[in-house]
Amino acid sequence: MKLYSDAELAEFTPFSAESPESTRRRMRDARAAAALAKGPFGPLVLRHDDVVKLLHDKRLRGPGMDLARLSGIPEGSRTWRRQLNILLFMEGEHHHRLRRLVSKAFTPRAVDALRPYTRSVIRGLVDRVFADGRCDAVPALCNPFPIPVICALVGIEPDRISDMSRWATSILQALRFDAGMFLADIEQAQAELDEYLDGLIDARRAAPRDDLLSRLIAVEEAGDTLSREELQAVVAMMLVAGTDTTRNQLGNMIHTFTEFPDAWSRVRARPELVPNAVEEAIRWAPATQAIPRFVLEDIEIDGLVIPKGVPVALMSMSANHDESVLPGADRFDVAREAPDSWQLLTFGGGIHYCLGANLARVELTEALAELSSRFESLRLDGEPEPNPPGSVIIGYRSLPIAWR
Amino acid sequence: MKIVVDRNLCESNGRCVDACPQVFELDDHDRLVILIDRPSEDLRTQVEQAVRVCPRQALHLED
Repeated sequence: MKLYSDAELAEFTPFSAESPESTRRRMRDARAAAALAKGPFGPLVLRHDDVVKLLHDKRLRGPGMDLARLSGIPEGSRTWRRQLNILLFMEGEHHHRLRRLVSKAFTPRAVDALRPYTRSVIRGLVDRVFADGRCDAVPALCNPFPIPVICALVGIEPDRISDMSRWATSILQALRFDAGMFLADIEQAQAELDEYLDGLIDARRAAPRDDLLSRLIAVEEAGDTLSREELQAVVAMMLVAGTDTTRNQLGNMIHTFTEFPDAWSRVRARPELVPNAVEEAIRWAPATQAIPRFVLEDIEIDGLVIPKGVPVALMSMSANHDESVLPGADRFDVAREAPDSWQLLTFGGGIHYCLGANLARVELTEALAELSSRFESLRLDGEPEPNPPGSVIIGYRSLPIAWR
Repeated sequence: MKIVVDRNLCESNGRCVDACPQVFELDDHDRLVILIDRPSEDLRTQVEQAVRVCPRQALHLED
């Protein structure tokens, strides 16, 4: 058995400017040759079954505060303290406690109740541009879509939605590899959000409503409740985790359908395919390319040893295209019936499985249902511009489309 | 086989219900109810699928 670093393996840099199509091709070749590739900080795990196993392996932990340290966020700053309470960066009993308290108020059924409102949001966005026959999907449809939905879930007042959008854009910079460069902006936005939430928490405590914030305030397990700072951190987390991902995934889905007009016709002809089409779109072009983990003990994959202390990237994007588990993985098939052994890995798995996965599905299915019913056809109307390198989320910052 | 659920991990995602509705159900409070905790062998395939698809791996089978 040899160290992975001594083996002849393909080299790959996640979150670079490489196009998804080129990435898919290189991953396919690398995956056929070996279970691992070499990334800039550590090995990349390429195959579906290995990624599934490792997501449930206790010898790996989540990324913790590694990213915050690397990206220059000062320890003890407001931004640091908020990141301490982002579930993905927490571990052990601390993580377990917060996730249990939060997930109690975030069940799939509660999320399903947002369907009508979600549909009305995307419908309104389409209404604004429909007569033009064309738009840049990113500013017109994708970016404004998730914020009102998250706000409705949490219980943010509608007249503060534009503030939430502004704060989200600033605070999201905290997840960049060069976050330290934007610290003043992040801290300012975080302080304004905290102040607003302070008042909102008092209001909801006095007069609870049927929203997530009221449920979080009321949530209690054997006398344990969430502190004010924890409540503020949880809302900030939802803003961060629930906007960038969804809006980029919507962009990726729209882009994918411009590449496969037959698939668009199929979904229009058979609207019952929408949920399946969304799953396939999330598989095909995921907004998340890699799931970062940290190895606590030596582990062995396919005869290669990854030593303790090494950061590992579980390449969900590669695993999603693993043809050895999913026949015809290189085809975009909206009517695909995946085998039992298959798991979609875009939302991860295990203890850090995306808490918002069901909300993401509600949003994306309502969006696809609305767009496919309104747009007779869908094509690119210019050169799309992908997110710049260093973005943790894969997507587009400009996506010109036309439907007439 | 006996079904064991780790209540600390279960988050009522309901994928087990999709895989095997004869055995798994979410009640009005979204709490998982195991309808048959020792299901018969003819349900094994579906029960094993339910165990596999749980995103949190909250389910286990004991013999």
